[in-house]
Amino acid sequence: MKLRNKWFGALLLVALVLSACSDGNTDSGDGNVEETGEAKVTLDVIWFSDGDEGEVFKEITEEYKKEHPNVEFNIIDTPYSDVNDRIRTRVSGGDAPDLARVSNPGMISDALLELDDYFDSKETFLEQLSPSARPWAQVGDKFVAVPTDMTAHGLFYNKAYFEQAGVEVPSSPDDLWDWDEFANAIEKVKENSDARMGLAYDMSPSRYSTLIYQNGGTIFSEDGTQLTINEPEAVGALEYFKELHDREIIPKSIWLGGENPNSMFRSAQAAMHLSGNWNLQNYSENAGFEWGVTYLPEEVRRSSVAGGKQMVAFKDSEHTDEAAEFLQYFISKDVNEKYVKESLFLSPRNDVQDVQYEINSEAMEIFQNELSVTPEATANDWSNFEYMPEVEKQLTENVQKTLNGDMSPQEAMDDIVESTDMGSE
Amino acid sequence: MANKTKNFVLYTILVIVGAFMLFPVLWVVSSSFKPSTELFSWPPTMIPNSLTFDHYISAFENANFGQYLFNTVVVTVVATIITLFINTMAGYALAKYRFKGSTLILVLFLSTLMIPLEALMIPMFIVLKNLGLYNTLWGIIIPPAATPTGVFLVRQYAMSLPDEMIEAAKIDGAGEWKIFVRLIIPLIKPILATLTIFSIMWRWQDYIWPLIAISDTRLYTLELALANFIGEYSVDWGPLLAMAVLTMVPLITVFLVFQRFFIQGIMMSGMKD
Repeated sequence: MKLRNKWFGALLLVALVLSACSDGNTDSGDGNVEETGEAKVTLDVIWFSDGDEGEVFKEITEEYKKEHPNVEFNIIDTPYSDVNDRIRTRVSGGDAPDLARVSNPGMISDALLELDDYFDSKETFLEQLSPSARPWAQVGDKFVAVPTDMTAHGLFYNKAYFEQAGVEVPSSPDDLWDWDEFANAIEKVKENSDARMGLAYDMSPSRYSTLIYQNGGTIFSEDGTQLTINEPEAVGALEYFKELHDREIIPKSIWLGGENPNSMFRSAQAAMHLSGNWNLQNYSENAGFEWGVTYLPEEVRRSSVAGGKQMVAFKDSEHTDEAAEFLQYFISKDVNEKYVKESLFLSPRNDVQDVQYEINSEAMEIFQNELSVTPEATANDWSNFEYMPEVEKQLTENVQKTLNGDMSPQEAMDDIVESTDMGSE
Repeated sequence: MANKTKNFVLYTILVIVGAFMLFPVLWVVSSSFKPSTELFSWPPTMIPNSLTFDHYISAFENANFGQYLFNTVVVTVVATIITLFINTMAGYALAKYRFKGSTLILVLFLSTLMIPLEALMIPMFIVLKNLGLYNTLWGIIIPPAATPTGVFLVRQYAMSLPDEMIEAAKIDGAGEWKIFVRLIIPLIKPILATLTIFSIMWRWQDYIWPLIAISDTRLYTLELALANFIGEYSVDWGPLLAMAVLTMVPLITVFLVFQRFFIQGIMMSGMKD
């Protein structure tokens, strides 16, 4: 009898938990017919966030729902590093999502919906975009992605340390540092202020490549079929980067030790941080000191590197029409302006270049300026979806080997050209 | 005297190693109470200069911690009950029943350990979807429930029980079910406790499978929610740390509760040999 009671108790517990389980998922279906007769549609959106853009996006979808009462959104927050895994499993498993925010449409291009038929024409759409955003809309010559926001590289600096050392930063695009002045300025600040380190330089091939472009070089030839990364301009960039490390202007612990440059600057250890506009929000909220943003140095030419995010739809999705319609809405002038303004991004649209940001407006102006002088070659290189992922990986490794002293700058760049199979031989 | 010195040295080493192991945990706890501006301050401070509960408040208000905790508890408890049930029966059967192909079945079980989840992800996803379990909590409860590791653990433990005991029970007139429930289960309690702890840990920390099987934010588990604080460029450390601390607490509690079974397990197996 005692035993039976025990079992009964256990069964009851199981039953209780089971009913709790099924409670949680009864209302996630779609396809119900509304009273108006229009079929309800739920769009699955795979999304990732760095700052507040997720909140802003949610507001935009709420607005959209007012105009389209039959559309619902299921925003699936996903860690950035797992976005592609999630997309791929769902596409291969026959349950393609409807929309996704991505940073590289090339990785999943075969699953994407071609947008030609949904937008007036590819050409008119591309013409609305700034040159540095255009390459991100296409993989090969297929129009599969809508660029939604852009980033640019720039310099953050700790105001107190520059004042202590009596060093002034460039205040306008007419009065920029060249590479030597840049290095000397930071060295001087490092020696004459409380800063423990000079320049925190993000360990990222994209941030590194800024130097290649500033020195007049590129990674690929214009048609994207040849590597130009071992030509003198690009090799010169690596020589300069090595010099900055040898003079201990850039702490070696970032590129060779994996230390986080963000926290170096945020903790007021580094005088400067070469990074991008995505840090503005972070520093506004979390850095307990006065900081500013200034222009990148100019060597042979000025250049930042444009990064960006895109939104894509999937050809196997059940709601391609609704998804494409939302894409058109999301990239329309007013909506895009609201989105970039509140998330502190730069706009990919030509007609949304003078955004009045509510916070950090001066800094955003500098980033906007950096993006406007950035040569189109940077976007060409970075949207070379076929070869860039491989080159990117080798670039980081070989720069590290050079800083270590295992390779000379020329050897490091030659090695990348030799070991990348561009299919020409 | 020599013994005392030896003990002193031993304890000193143990305390140092212990402190070393404990430090990251304490650091997480202390940091979760620091305001964002102090998180990365130099020199680092172990004890926050100013205490704040903001991160905890935002974990509950913005990040919906309560819902995720509920989901995780449901998944962990149900999955652990199912795991114990299946694994105990399978492990006992493979240890004590002689039938054709029993070794083959065991080898097949174990061979599934050789294939990483990444390779199985897409086929499993398709099965899940066709069973209608996709995007339900059942979808993260059922597929990983019958773990080969669990079956193996129970089998090895049950092997050490003497056959004569089971035969004696049969002679006394006990049926198979009664033997299993009244005799075997009480005897293998220590390994069940171990398996319970393992199962709770596995399900609590599971990440990749829930990531694939769940696409409704309301059904997210704590691990999924935690990972969402990590963006491409930046990590939202404050709420992440606070939520990590809250996620740790139940696991530590479970371990403390089951701790005596662990010790009992070691003692029992010590006597058997």
